[in-house]
Amino acid sequence: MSALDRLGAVIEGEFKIISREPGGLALLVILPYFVAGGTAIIASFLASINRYRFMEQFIGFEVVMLSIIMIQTGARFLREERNGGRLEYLLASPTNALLILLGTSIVMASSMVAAFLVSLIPVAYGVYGVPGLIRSITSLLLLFIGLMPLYGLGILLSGVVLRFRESDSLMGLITSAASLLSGATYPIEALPKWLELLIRVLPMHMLDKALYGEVMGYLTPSRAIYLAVAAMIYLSLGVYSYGRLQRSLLRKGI
Amino acid sequence: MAGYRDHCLERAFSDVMNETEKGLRALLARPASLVMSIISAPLWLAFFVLSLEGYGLSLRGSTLQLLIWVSYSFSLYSTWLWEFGHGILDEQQEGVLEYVLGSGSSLFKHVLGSGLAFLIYSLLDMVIILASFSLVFGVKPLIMNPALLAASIVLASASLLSVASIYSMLVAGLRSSWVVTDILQFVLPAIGGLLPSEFSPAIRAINSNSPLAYPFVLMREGATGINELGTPIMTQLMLATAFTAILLGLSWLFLFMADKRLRRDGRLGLR
Repeated sequence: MSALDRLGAVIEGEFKIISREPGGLALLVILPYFVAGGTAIIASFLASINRYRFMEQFIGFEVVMLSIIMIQTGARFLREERNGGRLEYLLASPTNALLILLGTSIVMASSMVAAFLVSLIPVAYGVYGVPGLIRSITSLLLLFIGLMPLYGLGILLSGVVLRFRESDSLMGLITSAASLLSGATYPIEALPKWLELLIRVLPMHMLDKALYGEVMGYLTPSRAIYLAVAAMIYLSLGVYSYGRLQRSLLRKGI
Repeated sequence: MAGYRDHCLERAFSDVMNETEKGLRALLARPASLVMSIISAPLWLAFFVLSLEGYGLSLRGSTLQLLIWVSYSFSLYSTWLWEFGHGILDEQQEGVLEYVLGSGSSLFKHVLGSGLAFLIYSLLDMVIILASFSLVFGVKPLIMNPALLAASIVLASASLLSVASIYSMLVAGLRSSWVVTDILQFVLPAIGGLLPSEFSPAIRAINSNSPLAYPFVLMREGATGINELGTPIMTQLMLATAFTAILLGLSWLFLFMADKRLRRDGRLGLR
């Protein structure tokens, strides 16, 4: 069985697992409306909110939500395998665990891209009409590329999560930190310089700017290039870090 | 006869207290998790308030004071639904409830005892939120009527204990109950007094007519000293107490039926 066949088998298996809970996918579509809508309602009592501002915030909250899920994907997979006692078998199998991680990430990213599209279409059409609708479809490629550095970041963190006993709580902390450091739903210029710089280095802020720019019709190539470069850097760091983690697990046990 | 009744009450009280102690021990058994939630709280708050500023607002003074209680109310809804409501479902899956029933206790006593432990835990949550607002935004939280605030927190927690336990019995048979919970954690606060009545006439109408809203409105009134609804505080307090008592009664009924079903065929819930 070639590596490609194995990857295909992993992807097929993952799709079957995800399709068992269609409610989860429906939630990915609905949740941005609750969060962006809820904050917009609160804000509307204190200032006037126009549809362009809502659109910007809607994409921002989408980016925050998808980023959190993508960062958690690798660590959650490894943790569930460990807790279920399957990680040992996985590491002992001839299939490289990185291939399995790649398969799960592709499935997760594809599901999120699909959910993003379904979620965005009504808002993009409502604000920018048919051109907005078309541009929201073209923004999907950007989103897929932009999710990759987040996945790399997640694998980078998975080593820490696996070593920590209270991994659920640590994931909660990572989630809150990632939301704040996304810089996707507020102007980052108001923050201290060091924090602004950190947010600019992380991929969420740029993903938000790129997606919003594309849906508006003003995407600058530099943003797309930034995302592609970030995908390479963060994925490389993630793969390197996971390699070290796997060697350590094989040497010392789980 | 009176002696027998006193003995039964004494036994029930002792059972509930035992459950409370057990619940508290379980909640505080993971100090690392407590530290994480202490660190997470200001991060979430900063994210929430900065996101509101993303709509072009500049949040100051009295608005931030109100947002403290909006945050705490949302935290109460979220915690009771997720940690408590889903906690009951987790206990069923892990087989804990079988031991509880086997020990001669009842589902209602177990839920009430764990709920009291949760109430104490949620007070810690309030301290963290107040400290976070003070740390992140430099706001000194106002508490104009501590007795009213304390009463409202107890009433809000008792209402949510009832709602969460009834809800968990209703969704116990669902495969993806978490999806419903995720949606409900936004819907329930919206009709349950999360937003201050000063925001709009529509919110005022919701807060005046929703049985769930009164304890949360009283919470803000106890803190800020401003009567939001214009109704006398005593009337609001009586209405809140009456609604909470009704909810607790309903919760007892639902749990009693679920208890019988669990003993008969080993499945939780009402379906």
